[in-house]
Amino acid sequence: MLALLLAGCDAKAPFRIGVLAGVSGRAVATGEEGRNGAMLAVEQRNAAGGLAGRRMELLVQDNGSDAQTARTAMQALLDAKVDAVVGPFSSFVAVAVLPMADDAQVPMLSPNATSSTLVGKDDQLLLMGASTRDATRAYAALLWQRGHRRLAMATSVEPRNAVYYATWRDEFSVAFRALGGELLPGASFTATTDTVYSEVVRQLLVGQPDGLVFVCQVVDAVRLAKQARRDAPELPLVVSDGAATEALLRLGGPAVEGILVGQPRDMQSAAPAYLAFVNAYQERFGRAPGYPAVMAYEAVTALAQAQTQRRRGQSLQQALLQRGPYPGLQGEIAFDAFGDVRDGLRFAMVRGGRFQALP
Amino acid sequence: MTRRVWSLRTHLSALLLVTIVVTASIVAFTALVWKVPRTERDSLVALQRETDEVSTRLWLLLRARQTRLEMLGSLVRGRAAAEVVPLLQANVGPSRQFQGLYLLTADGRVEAVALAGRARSDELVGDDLSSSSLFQSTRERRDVVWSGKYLSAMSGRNIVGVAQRLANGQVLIGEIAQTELLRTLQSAAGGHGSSIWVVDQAGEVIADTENGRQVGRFNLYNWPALQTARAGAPVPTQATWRGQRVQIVVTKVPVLDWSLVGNVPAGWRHPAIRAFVIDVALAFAGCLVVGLLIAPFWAQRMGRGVRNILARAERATSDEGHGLSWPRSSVSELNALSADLERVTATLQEREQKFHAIFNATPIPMAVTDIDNALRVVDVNEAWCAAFGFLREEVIGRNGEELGLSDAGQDVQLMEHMDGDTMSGDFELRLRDGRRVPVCVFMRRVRLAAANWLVCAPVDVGPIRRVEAELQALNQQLEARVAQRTQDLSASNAQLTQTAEQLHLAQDELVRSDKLAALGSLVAGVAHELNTPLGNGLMAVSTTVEATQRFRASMASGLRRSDLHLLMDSVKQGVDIAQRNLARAASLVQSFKQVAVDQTSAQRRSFELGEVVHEMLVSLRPSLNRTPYRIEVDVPATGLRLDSYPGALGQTIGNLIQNAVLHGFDGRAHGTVRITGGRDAGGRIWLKVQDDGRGIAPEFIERIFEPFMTTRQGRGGSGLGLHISRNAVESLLGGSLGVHSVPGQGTCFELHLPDVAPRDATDAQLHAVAGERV
Repeated sequence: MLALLLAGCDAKAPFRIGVLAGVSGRAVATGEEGRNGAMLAVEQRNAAGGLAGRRMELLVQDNGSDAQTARTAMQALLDAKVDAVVGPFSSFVAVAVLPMADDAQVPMLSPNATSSTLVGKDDQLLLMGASTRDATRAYAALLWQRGHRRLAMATSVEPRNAVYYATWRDEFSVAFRALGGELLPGASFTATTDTVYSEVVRQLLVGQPDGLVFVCQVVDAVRLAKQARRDAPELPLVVSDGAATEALLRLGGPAVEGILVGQPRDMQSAAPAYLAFVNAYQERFGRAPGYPAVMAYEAVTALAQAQTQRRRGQSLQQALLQRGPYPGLQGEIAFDAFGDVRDGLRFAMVRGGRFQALP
Repeated sequence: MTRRVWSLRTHLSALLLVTIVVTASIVAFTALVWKVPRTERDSLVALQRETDEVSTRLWLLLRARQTRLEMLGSLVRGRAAAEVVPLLQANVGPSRQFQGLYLLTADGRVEAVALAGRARSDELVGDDLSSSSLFQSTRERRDVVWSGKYLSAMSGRNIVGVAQRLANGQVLIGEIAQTELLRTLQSAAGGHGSSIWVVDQAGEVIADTENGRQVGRFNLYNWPALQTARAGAPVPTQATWRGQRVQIVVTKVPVLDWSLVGNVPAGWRHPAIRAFVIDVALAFAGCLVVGLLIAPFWAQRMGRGVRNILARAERATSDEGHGLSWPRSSVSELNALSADLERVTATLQEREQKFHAIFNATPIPMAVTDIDNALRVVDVNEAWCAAFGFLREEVIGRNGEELGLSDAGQDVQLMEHMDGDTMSGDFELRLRDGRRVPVCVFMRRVRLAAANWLVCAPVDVGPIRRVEAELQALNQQLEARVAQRTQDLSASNAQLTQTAEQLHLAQDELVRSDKLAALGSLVAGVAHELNTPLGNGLMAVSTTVEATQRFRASMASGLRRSDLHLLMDSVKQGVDIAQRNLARAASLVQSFKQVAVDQTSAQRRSFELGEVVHEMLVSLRPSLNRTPYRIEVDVPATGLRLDSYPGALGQTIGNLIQNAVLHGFDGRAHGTVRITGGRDAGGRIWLKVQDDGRGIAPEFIERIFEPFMTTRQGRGGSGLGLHISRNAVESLLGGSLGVHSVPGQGTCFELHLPDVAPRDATDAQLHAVAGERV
């Protein structure tokens, strides 16, 4: 009888989670971390018996660097009959594939797609982190509080994630100006190998700002930081939350010391669940996790709980919205009616090669 | 349980199919058992070879870069940045060996830089790269250091870095595009369903031979096989990857902390095995299809011969089969079967014809009816048609009632009375012309496999009944006649009995008179024999008496001496003669006496044959002497001794001699009886009495030993002599008496006697013989 039951369990179709991430090109840092976090969560869950005996399966697709590739990747996941998608890891991809997810009624849990254009909509996209609007408001408030009044922004306009950068820049501008701050003429650049970062920094410094804000990818942030450190060594630097990953520390080295970042999770958290996760991650992948890994892990956890607690006739998206809150690694995660987490950012400064939370 | 019956075609089809399926299954199974492990082994070997090849190529590529870097290092060392940059730029570019080259100061600041596709790199000069892991590692080792994959902060690309610390402390870093290195894989991509992954130090698959399908999809950092390889232990060739069994080969790429993981699915998922299994399955299916196509066709062909024979056999018993030839096919056994059936059919037809001939030839009306079909007629013979006045065609398929032969229900009643398989009974049937005739119907039930027949033979018993009545009358008359005849016969019988008694008496009388005649003859013979000596003696005595009287007379006249001498001479002569003749008479008497004793006493004694013959002749001579016939005797006096009955023997010899004289020489003026004796080759004594008389006619010769057989009836023959003689020889003497005769030439009686006569001769026999003496 037991054997029969086990056979029955084995025969159940696995619970398939697609991971839509950029695992090649410049976004590889975020993509790999997110994929690793989801992978670890699935592995741990399966080792603990899966979802009520149902195995979880992870399918990874590279969303590449353009909308078409992203849609192809999403279609591959939908063709593979995934139950849910963890990702994408950028707003640009989220915008591109969301109609597909809506059509297929497959919920997507994005750790760090934060563009405000995606927020507050009754769709299949659930955002794990704070929206760009909330994030930029928090940035603006903090910088204002820290005495910044004249800021210059360097914004990446690479087509890959232009929607995020533009939204971030615009939202931040509105918020900072609302506080009475001044935004000096900024600079926009396309991230290529031929980008002349010194020129970008020179433009930013024209108006003699009291701080520079980089709205771009990690590599760009590092290059800009290095250039800024050379041209204006004492000028405070701020990097948008999207680039505040572990790669920033790895690539930037001394150049990113003192940089202020906002992160959706506290990388110095002492929460036991988080510490256990960090250890497991280190064990599994041989390196420390970044916040995309943390959030992807939490996304899988939320999916698992919603799936196990889902009522008959209830869609997975509805279950995700109604069966919360979910246990995050650093506290509960609660989605609102639109599947957004109204959660604030944790601000940190790079000190000694690590993110150190601001008091 | 009923046995399933299939047609020959189905059987043959099944046979062929089963043969094909079983053979194909065995071949397929054997091929799989042999091929699958072999394929797995081969693919593992091939995988190892490919992985080694990729590893070697990568190493050659890296080695070339390293050599170039070392060469560059010696060129740029200690030179001013302005001099160095052109040197570096000459080595970077999409088609060059490096994507980027940096010359760093000993503390990690960029002194000179050249980046592919970037004209102005001077903004990078002065960058602090001391935190880079590659720079860090040059502090620990003096020689060339390779990084794994890393994201270049300079170019923003995934690159592989190589760094060399120069003698003056400067560090030269080269960036090699990861894609450049991984191009080597494309030409090495294996067949056999295998794939090779290049796994970097972080466990990321950075390239594969599957067009990048596996790149970025998973992380193998803590995969047991890879951990084993990282620990330097031998990697098992079997591993589990995502729940599937795979064969793997793990090779570390020299210099880089990368691993090459060659893997090929094991078992069914192995393309070669799957292809082989599919091939085998296709071959199997092909065999099956070919079998399915061929088997019915072949079976049809094979079966056709049998069906033809069957069809012909079905016609064999009907008229339409007559004259049709029997089919032949390409199967010798079927031909033999066909030939056998042809013979059998011919025999059957012949028998049927015979049966029909007999059935129709028999004068008894016969009808074959079907019991299961209300006794309707199946066949009738000609006699039946003749008897009842129907044509055969009219009666077939109709029953007696329908034909008006019998009354309604009569047939059914008939059947009800049937006990067992045979029955007979008297009925009255109507002929076609309406006459009713009494018949006796003999019926026999014939149980055939497919029919239940009743064979009826209605025999018109009218004539028989009439004859029976006549016979009965005759019989009664006959009985009366028999009684009459019996009565007559009884009377005749009584008369005959009386006559027989009279005959017996007559026979006795005859014997007695015969004996008296013989006695008379004997006495006459004896008297005659004695007459001569006694006459001589009387005459001599008379002469003497005359002499005496003359003497007396002379004495009266004077006695003279001469007279006395004369008397004395006469007396002496007379006495002498008398004496001799008396002696002769005495001898004769003695001889007769012996014969008489022998013949009356049936005495058994030892004697010589010649002796008896002689005595017999002596006793017969007086009677023979008066005849012109001679008797010659040639019997040895000695050497033929018998222990037997001389009387019987002598009587037999006497009878035979008498027979010869009386019958053989009857009416003849001369004749010789020759008596011979001796021993034959078997030691038995024989005696022949042969005459040269007229012989015995053939019609009599068989009967001469019968009593009262005589040709001289009424002329002195009793007809008993030879009968008595044969009786005596065979029963008393133990011998045999035979005769052969040639009419006109004579007769020969032949006696064969044992030396010793049987001892068990009874008194009755003795007396009978003695009593019959003649």
